[in-house]
Order: sequence, then C-alpha cells, then structure tokens
Amino acid sequence: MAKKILLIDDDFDLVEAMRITLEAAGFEVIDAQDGETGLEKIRTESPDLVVLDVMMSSMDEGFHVAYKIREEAAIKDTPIVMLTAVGNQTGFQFDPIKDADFLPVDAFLEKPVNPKKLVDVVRQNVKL
Amino acid sequence: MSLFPDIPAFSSASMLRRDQWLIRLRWLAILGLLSGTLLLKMIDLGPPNNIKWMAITGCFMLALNFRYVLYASRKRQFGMSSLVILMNVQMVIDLIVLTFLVYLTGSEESPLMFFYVFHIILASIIFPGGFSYYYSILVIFLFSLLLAFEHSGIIPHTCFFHEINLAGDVRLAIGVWFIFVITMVVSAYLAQNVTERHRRVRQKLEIANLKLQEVNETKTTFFRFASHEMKSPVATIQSTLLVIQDLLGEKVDKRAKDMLNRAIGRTSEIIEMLKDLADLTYGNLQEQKEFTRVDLNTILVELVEDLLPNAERKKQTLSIKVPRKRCRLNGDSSALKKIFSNLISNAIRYTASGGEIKVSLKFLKTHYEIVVSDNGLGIPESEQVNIFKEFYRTAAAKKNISEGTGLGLAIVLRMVELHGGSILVNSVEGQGSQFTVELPIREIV
Repeated sequence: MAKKILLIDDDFDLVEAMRITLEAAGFEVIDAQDGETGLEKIRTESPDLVVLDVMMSSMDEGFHVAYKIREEAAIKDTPIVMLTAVGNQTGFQFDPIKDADFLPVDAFLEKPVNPKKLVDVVRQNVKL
Repeated sequence: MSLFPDIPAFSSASMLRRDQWLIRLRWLAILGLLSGTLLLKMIDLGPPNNIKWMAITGCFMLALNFRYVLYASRKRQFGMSSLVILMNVQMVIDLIVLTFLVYLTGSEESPLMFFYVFHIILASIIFPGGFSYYYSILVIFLFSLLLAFEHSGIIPHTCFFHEINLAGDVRLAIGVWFIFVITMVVSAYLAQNVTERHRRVRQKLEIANLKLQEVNETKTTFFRFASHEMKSPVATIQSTLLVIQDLLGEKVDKRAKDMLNRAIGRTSEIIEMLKDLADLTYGNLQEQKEFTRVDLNTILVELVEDLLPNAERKKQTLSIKVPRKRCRLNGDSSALKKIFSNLISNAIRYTASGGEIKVSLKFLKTHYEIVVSDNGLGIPESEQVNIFKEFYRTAAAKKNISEGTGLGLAIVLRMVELHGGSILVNSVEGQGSQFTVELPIREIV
C-alpha cells in the first residue's frame, strides 16, 4: 500500500509541484493550507510523513505545529520534514544542523525544492 | 530685518549678503559717530576744530555708504572675486577713517582705539581664511604710522582732554561712558553673531546627518522587505520548473529542454541575488547582542575544506596558515563565515586555472589579521574605491565571469563593520589581489 504523505503549506503552487513529484514516486499525497487544518488531518488521516513549511501565516508557524505534533501522544511519532525559506539553510535565523537538537523534526529541506532531493528525503524518513 | 548674514558658505550670494550686512553695520557706526559728535558739542568737550572735523567725517561716511548701497544693488552681476575686492576696499577705507577719528580724539589717549578690535573681528566673520591677520597687521601699521608721524612732528598731536581738569569733570565721564556703552553693545552683538552662526551650522549638520541615517535605514528596510517578499514566489517558480524538468525532461525536444534549463538558471540567479540582499540587510535587527564566543581557526579551516573542491576544479592550490594558538573573539559565526567564504570564493572565481590562493590568520595583540590573497586578475587602482559599493562589478569581472551579483564585497564590508573591524584591499592589475581583514579582539564582558 502506498505511503501517505501530508503536505502542510499555504503556497498552492509549491504543494502542486511536490504532489506531482511525490505521486510520480508512488506516494499518496494529501495536503493542508494551514497549521490548524494540518494538525487535524494528522489526527484523522494518520499520514506516514509530514512535509511542513516553516513560514506560513507567521514567521514560525511551522515550528509551533511541529511542537504540537510531538506533544500529542497519538501522533508524536509522525516523521516531519521541515521546509525552510530561501537563505535560511546557509543563513541566519536558524541553523538546521546546529539547531536539530532542539527542533523536533527529522529533516530539513531548503526551498526551492529539488524533486530528486524531496523524494530521497521522504524515502529516508517515511514511517515503515 | 535681521542683521545676520545667514548662509555660512562663501558663495557669491552669501558674500553679497555679507556686504549688505557690513553696510547696515556702517549706518549704525555713522549714527554713533554723528550722535557722539553732537553729544561732544552739547557738553562742550574737546577742541571745536576737531569736533567740526568729526562731523565732516560723519557726513563723508554717510555719502560714501549711500554709494556702497548703490554698488551693492548692482553687484549681483559681478562675480565673487570682484565682490571680495569691493568689500576689502570698504574695510580698508573704514580703517583709515577710524585712524583719522582716533587722531582727532587724541591718538594714544583716544577711547576709540577699541573700535579697531571690532574691525578685526568683523574681518574674520566676513572673509574666509586668514584675512583677520592681514587686518590686524594693517591696524598695527596705521596706528604705528599715526604715532610715528605725531612724535616726529610731521603732524601735530591733539590733546583732546587738554582744557579740562581730568579729575572730577562730569563731561569726561559722560564722553567715556558713551564710548563704553557702545563698546559693550558692539562686543555683545559680535560675540552673539559668531556663536549663533556656529550653532546654526551645527544644527544644520545634525539635521542633515539624521536625515541621511533615516534614508539609509529606509533603504535597508526596503531591501529586506523586497528580498523577503520575493523569495517565496521565486523559490516556488524554481521548484515548479524543477518538477517539470524532472518529469518531462526526457519527453520534450532539445530546444524546449534548453529553454527550461536556462529558465532554471535565471531563477537561480534571482535567488542568489535575493539571498545576498537579505545578507546585506542583516545586522540591523540582531546587531551585537547576538554575539557569541567564536573560534576563528576552526571557522577558517572548515571554510577552506568546504571550498577546496571549487579550487581543485580549477586546478588551483588553496592553502591556509593558522597559528597554533586558538584565535577567539566575540562575534557572529554566520556573519564571519560569510565574510571569509565571500573573500575566498571571489579569489577562486577571479583567479585563472592553476593559480594560487592563500589564507592566513595572525594574532596581533589588539586584533586578528586575516589575509586572503591570490595571483589572479587583480583590480585596477581606479576601480578599487568602488568594489565595496553595492552592485558594483569591475569591468574585468563582468567580462570574464558572468555570475556574481556585485553584492559580495558590500556584504563583507557590512559584516566586518558589524564586528568593529576594517578591511583593506591591496591589488595590482594582472598580478593578483590581497584582502586584509582586521577584527578587534573584545574582552568578554
């Protein structure tokens, strides 16, 4: 059975681009436009992995969603891949590699999203 | 009506305003002279012949000042130099007339001697440079000449107070009091004038400086906002293009594939530019409060390791020399990495295949010195002043290497300044460049 991936991002075009890539790689894709809906879908649909955008309505909405996932017993084992804004990977607001200890996510992916990389990262982290 | 000439710069317009000011002051001086003469006449002080000559001098100056007014109204057509000459002529005539008045009122006994001082101060206000010194020399010359003439008998000495008993004569008191009052009022006016002018200039500078800071802040905010707002859509465009390339890449014909690749390349350029713009505005928000203890040895060694593949691709040697002692300072490690990665990347980029790039770190008591040198293209001397400006790229850089936003060194400069440091460039066209960064060592507070 195909693994179910939830994309939480308010950028419709980016969601579509990722959906096409992931579906072509054999995943089932569902999506949510904001953190609240995203959390609800994790509870009801129990996806095998979540791709979460850092910046949605606020600078750090993605972080809050990630913390909430880790706090809820029923869903806390859901793997999270966090999408970071342009420049953040090399940059200044946070350092994914350094900050991985206190950010409760499994992997980071920088925008723009490279399709091959996306598939690789999802395959590596998806719940077995 | 203000007596104050309010433009401090020595333009022809301000010079004309000074001339008009001088003329206004002269009206007051003539008024003082004529009323003083009248007073002397009324209290019957001084030789009548001298009083008569003082009145004649007053009338002469009155006529002369009218002449000056006429000149001044026509002087708008004249240039700066003719204005300066005319004003000097006026000042010299004023001093000769004053010397005559000093002579009439008893030369070395005359209380009018103080008025020489006012002329010197006036000269310093009105003319640029060392004019007040020339005027002090002229005053000394005129007064010495007067004394010499009198004491060698060429002209007779006037004993102004000859006929009165100096002690207890109220007329003397009134005369001296009159001069005293004028002296005090003129002193206050001139002193006020000088300090007020100074204050106004300073105020103008402060306001101008504040405005500049504001403009700079606005620019930075704009850069930050613009780059931030554009980042996401451009990233999405590229993500979309990458997906299309990935899924359809093999199915479309070669021309469409090339077009797609070029479009992806273009978006990459925009993303680079936006990242650089974001870096350039970095620091305004965090500043030094985010500083931590960082280790320059590690930063540099790791950077060189990271960039070594780029150098090897061009068959260049990239070497680093660091002291055994750990070079630590309070700083922002991301910003420091950015400084040196930009400098080393530039060296690799602007040095031909087979070239040599050296990085060194030195501990120099008060600061650390980091030198990045290469034997590459070099920067012509005429362009060296511009390389730290935003979006500037040297002619050779534009010709030889297509990529580059022209923001790299502007970012470097900004981040070096954020650490209280400085950067120097030493370069010879065709021989290579050497960038020296100095970072002050701060004590941990």
